[in-house]
Amino acid sequence: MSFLASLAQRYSHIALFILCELIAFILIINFNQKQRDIFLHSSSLMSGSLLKKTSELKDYMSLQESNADLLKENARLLQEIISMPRSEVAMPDSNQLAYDVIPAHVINNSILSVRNHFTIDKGSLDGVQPSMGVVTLGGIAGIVKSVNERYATVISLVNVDIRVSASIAEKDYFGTVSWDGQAYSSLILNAIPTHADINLGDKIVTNGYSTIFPPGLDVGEVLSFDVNKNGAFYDVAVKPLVDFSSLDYVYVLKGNFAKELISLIEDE
Amino acid sequence: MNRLHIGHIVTSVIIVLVQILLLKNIQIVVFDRFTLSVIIYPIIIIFLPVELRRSAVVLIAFFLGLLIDSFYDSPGVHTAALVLTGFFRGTILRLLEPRQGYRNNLDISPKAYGMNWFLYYLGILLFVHIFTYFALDAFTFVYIAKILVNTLMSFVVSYLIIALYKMVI
Repeated sequence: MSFLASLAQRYSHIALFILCELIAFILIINFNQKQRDIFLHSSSLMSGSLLKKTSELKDYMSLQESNADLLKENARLLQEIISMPRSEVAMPDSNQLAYDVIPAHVINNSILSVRNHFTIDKGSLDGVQPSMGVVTLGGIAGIVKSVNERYATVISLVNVDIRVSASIAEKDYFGTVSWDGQAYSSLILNAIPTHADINLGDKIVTNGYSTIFPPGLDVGEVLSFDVNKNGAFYDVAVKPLVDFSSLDYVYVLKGNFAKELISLIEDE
Repeated sequence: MNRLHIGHIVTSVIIVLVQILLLKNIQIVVFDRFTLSVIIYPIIIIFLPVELRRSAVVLIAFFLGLLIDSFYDSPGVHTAALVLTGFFRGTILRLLEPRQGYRNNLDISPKAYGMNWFLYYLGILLFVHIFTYFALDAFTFVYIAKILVNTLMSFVVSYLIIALYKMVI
């Protein structure tokens, strides 16, 4: 008992101190408008910032999900752009050449070889078939080479085997885009006649002469041009608009063509 | 109740009157932003007899704070600061205890334990009180710069006034 009494005597001032401070703070918060506002506000600030942190965490956890959503949305928009008539003189039936857009994620990519490929996480189950065009939001990226159920291998635009028909934007000169196996930041467009009026920085776009890519998709920009050895054509160096070293999300273009068109092309 | 106690009570009443009738009206605004207040009433607590029990000091501080607050129209603000000062008084007294210890029935003054000791002791407790007061007045550390400037200005002026007063009397 005497121990308890001495304990009480020893620490009574601390208890008294805490009690007095408590009363003082209750008085402060209840009877001072400014302090009351700050108190109420900061408690809501505290709970608010906690809620914000939680929702940020939730956002982070669902990043993959929202990425997938964005990808779908992008694909839908891309589809709309592609199926829009290119110009006023477009054929009334050009909308029939509609493309479905399949979003995909690049899971493997190479740029160091002369025959570069990349792999995407969509296959025949998703509707991907060989010879479909693959684009990014920047421009065209390659052509599907082979597919299995879940994955597809795509010939990159930086592959010496690829040939894509392209023309200079808003001028009708057309040629073939290929790659010389040198730098992945430079493609070659050949067979442009020397009387063509080319300027540095001109856009090179697909011309829709094949069913792989619809007309008007970006390929690159004119980096430099030179008359080739034969003297009849320009060799145009083209800077691709897609950074092949950092491919991430791509879109596979699935053309819905009239059977007649396909058989016609195959007959050629 | 001996003469020392009566003297304490009389001085305390005078100090409270000076504080609430005179010094309360001297609030100087500097640069439209900072406030200089002269705060001397904590010396009632600071200069209570050394031998007084800590719980008694805390209680006296509490009621004195309530009294000051009733005149300053700021329920609890002065009280909380003064209770804290009263609580810390015991700690500071123990930390600054002279080698020969404290003597009973001796008022805290420059003569009692030396000038340096006196200025130290007064400075620490007065600063604690004034800083706590401005911190509680702002009630947020968002304005820490303002709290510090207010504290420093008010502390220097109040400190000089109290030190002069104690040296003269």
